[in-house]
Amino acid sequence: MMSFEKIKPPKEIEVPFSESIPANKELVLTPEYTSTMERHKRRRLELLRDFITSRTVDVTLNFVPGIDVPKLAIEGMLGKTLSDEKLTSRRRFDYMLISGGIALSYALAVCVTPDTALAARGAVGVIANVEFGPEMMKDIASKTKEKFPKASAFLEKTASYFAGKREQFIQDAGRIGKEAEGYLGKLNRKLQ
Amino acid sequence: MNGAKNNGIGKIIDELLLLGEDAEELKFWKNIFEDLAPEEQEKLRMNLEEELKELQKLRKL
Repeated sequence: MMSFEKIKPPKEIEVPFSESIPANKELVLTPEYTSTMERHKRRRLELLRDFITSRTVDVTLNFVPGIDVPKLAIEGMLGKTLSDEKLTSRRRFDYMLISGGIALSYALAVCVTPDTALAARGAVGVIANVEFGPEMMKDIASKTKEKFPKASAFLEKTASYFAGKREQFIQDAGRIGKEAEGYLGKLNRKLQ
Repeated sequence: MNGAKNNGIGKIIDELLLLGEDAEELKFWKNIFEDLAPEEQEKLRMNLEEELKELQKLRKL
């Protein structure tokens, strides 16, 4: 089984949580202007959900033909993020990327190991029980690059996005990871 | 950012940033663009182009 050892991250400067960071701060944003931006951001979130789902399903179907649980699990996780009105658009984008990154990491971790059922148990542990940071995501991407180039490239870029926001990532991933455990457990049971 | 490599998406993103869009989010899209399938790239490009047109129109009002 692959080992996803906990890598000590390089010393990083803590970047505080940031809301949307407009490059042009001198603009006066009218409500109509803001709502136009929000509408297009929401559409991009839907695209992001679809892109992540497509990659995760590609990976899992490649290895376990006919299994539909990963798709349902991912859609459940990502759909909840998309519909959570309490989140600002920036938070929603980050949540979607973290949820998707967890799902994709999980699928890749399961699918590159020789014993699927054993791997599923191991991967649930990896995702839910250890401090899951961007460096681990990067590690999984690197170890799966040859077998799943498209999915691993997506994961690698996702990890890079959070490289400067490690603390925020760890906090959110911890919360999302607990939720993910339930969804991912379904896949685990199906594989056993 | 690799503007030329991104078949015009870099230019659209640069203009959106001037119009107040979120730099971090758009930087992610710019970085991921070359890893997307052609049809995915097209969907994203359309979204960004539409937003740019609408925001430019609102700025002129």
